[in-house]
Amino acid sequence: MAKMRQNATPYRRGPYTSKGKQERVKGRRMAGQTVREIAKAEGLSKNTVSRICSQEEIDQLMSGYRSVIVEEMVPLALKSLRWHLKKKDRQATIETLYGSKALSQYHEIEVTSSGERDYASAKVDFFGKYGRWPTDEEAKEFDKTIPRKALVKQLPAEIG
Amino acid sequence: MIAPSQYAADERRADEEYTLQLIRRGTKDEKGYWIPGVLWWLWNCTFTFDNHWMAKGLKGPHRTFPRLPYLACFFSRLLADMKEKSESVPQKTSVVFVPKSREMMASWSVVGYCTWLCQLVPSTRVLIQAQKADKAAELVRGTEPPGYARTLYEQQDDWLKERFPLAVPITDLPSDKLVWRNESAIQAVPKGADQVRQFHPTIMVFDEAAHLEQFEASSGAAFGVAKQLICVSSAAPGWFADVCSEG
Repeated sequence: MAKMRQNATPYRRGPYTSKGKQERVKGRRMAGQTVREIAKAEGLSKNTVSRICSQEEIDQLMSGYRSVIVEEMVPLALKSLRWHLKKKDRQATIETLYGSKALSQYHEIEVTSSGERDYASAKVDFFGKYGRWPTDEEAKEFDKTIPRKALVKQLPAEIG
Repeated sequence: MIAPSQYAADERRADEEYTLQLIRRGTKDEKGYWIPGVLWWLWNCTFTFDNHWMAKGLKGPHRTFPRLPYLACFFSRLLADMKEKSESVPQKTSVVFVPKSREMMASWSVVGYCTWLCQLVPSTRVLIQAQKADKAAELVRGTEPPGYARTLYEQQDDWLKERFPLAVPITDLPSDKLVWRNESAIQAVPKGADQVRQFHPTIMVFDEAAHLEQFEASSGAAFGVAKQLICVSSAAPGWFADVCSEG
């Protein structure tokens, strides 16, 4: 057996396994089954399973699935969502608002920020006071009048 | 349209900028006296580590920096002295001798000053010398318990650590070194003038200077090179005591 393997030519052709069986093998692989398990379940050799499961083939399959999702399923999903929103479905309404970021859960709000300021808080406070949106310069000037709080550390109460 | 999350993020950013201003410049206290930025930072933005917390009946090892009455004056002197000397004669070194007794927080204060400066001013190099290498390392990163500078850095809130990041994760640093991404660093060295001659520090700190072998030679090696020499020690006869007596 060892000698046969030594003399065997490298794999150059595609598998003879039927398309249907190939799809099942890939499906099992994506579901997390091992090569050995798939080979036993489908009655194939481990080498055959490995060849079928080569990354390039899976990528092509995934790309095919993606185009089905985008071209066929998304338009159907949008139609369905529109129907549910017209029916004033509460869940659909809230999920749409979350998805569009018009609503945020408290824990989603970033408590640490980085980068330059956009003076959003000053603009909103200005609007609240004067009833109109400020220019960028007005927002920066108005920002100087807003009292800010220092971020100080506190020992936890149990440490005291 | 401005989303609530955008408002909150900008408000948070504004509070951080305000806090950084206090850390840099300090503020007035209720009596109108200036609290230097370094002291404001030590009081409000980080904690110290007390090795004897169990014996003292405390619930944990971390404590806020004590509100001792002389600290504002001490830090003001350190800052003003360094500024004056570096402006009047660029190569002149400011020298500060700090005679102390135990529980005065002198070492913590000096290490706090150095850590604060390293974070705010890029390329600040601090050299700390003590009699033994492991004692000097205790003031920097240390092992267990953590060193002074390491404690002050790590006990800051995450946003401050992001503003003043270290060059590498702290666990990858040796016990005698703390290095920031802005190229500031605190390095610990043991006794000996040759240890000092290898470096060109911005600030040279001598811990327990009166008990340090070759203290006079080491300070001579640093004088004229460093912008500031800070010599902290408990009482002992010798050159340190002579200088303090001359006043």
